[in-house]
Amino acid sequence: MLLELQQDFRRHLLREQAVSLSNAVLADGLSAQARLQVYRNHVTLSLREALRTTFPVTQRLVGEEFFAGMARQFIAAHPPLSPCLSEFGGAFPDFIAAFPPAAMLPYLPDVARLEWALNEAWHSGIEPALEAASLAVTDPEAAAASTLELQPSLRLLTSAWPVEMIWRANQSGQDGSGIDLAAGGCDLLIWREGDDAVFRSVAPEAAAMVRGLQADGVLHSAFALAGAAEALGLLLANGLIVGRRAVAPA
Amino acid sequence: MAGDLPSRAGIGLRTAHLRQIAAAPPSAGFLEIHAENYMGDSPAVALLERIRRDNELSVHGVGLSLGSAEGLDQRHLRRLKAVADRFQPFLLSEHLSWSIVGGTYLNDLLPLPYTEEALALVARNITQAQETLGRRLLIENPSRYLRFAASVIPEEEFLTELVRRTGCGLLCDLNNLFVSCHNTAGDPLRWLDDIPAEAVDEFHVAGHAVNEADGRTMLIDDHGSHVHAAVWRLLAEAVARIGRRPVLVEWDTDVPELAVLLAEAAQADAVLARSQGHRHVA
Repeated sequence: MLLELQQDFRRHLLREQAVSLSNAVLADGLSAQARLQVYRNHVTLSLREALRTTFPVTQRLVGEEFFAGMARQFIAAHPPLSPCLSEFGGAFPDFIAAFPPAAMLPYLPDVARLEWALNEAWHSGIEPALEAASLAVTDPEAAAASTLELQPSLRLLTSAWPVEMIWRANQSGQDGSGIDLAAGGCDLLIWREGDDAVFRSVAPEAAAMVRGLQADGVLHSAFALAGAAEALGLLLANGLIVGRRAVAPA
Repeated sequence: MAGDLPSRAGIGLRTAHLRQIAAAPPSAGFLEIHAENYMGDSPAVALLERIRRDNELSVHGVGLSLGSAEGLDQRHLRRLKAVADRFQPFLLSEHLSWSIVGGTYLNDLLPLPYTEEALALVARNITQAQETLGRRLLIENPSRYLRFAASVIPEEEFLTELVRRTGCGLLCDLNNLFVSCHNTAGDPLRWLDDIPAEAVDEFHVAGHAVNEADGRTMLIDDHGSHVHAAVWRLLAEAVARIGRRPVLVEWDTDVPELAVLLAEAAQADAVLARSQGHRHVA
């Protein structure tokens, strides 16, 4: 009984299908529909607000009204799975990519991906960073067979669009101008630094190395790549390497 | 039990005020957080660690969904326990409502039909939550915008029975009570008379919005403005019947500067001070 009522309520709130709850609800001088509408409005508006908080630049690029419509459809298709709303919206960038009305802004999904990465980074802890000295290679063979652990906040975004330029031109106080869409793509490293989530663009070689480290953490496969030394320097300088472990011999 | 609680007014701790409060403890009896905002590892969590050293803290959950027919989300229950263990609040509260069905979190405190089935279910969920948490939960009356045809138990009786079956306490939200009674033709004074006074460990007050729907006013519990005069009067009635308890001023949307919240808390303290204290009304 109660389970069916809750399932019907969900269908009503998310507009999954027309359900009649009118018989379950007393009118009491105001229609059952008007009463149910209070809950539906709250769910839609509060979840849209959560998306706005996480994706402010995405909203600025499409405008409030377009964003509201897109958010409403996203909420119905991908409602939250957790009561922690900062974890809501991970599927939004892919949803935007497949949302036909947004197709005229082909860079929009990557802007949303950057905002999601910044959100995830901000909610990650900071581990004590490894000092450069403890990475000094005394035994090249042992070094090559060790793995590096990265800050839990570290994210990598590779885009065919100048996402960094678009994002920076659409911060508060900026007028959104000066973007050259022909400027080409970028590789962005995103991480938490102190109380902020930050990002910077890196060379494609450095991005490839970080991708290798994220995949299996093993240094030798990463070192086989060009630009590895530069990438390692960047990771060390920003405190992004938190551990090194020898790989157990097979 | 209520004797060793700070029977003073506190304020909700909001993101916009975190730094200011971390720099200097405010003139409030305690601070209340929403548990779900501190379940990650963000800078806000580190700030709260610092704030906790100088302030009494209560933890208010909004996502446990004690009324879920499918039972509790065990992962979320463990995360709530981690917050409670980490910050050691003097009160831990949740709602008489549900938010989760089929693994989906609907981000609202949704109403339950007050039936024997729901009573048995909520009692079972509260018992399980209290066992996992190792703490007593306070259960808050929700804001209601409708009544179910199937409801046969008055809300005050439903809450009384939950206290009896689970040993939980009550969080009496006077704004919710006012809003619900307006929207569903209830009698707030009778409700206050009928809940077990000794189980109430906290009061909440907040602002609400007044909406027009089909030529009738519907009150919406939006926590976005000053506490209404009628809710202050209801707080005084509650203190007269139940006794002095910690009072929380909630303000969650259009959050004003800290001084405004502290002025609301001072007003709540004044209501507590004016009260003649415990007086049973038959």
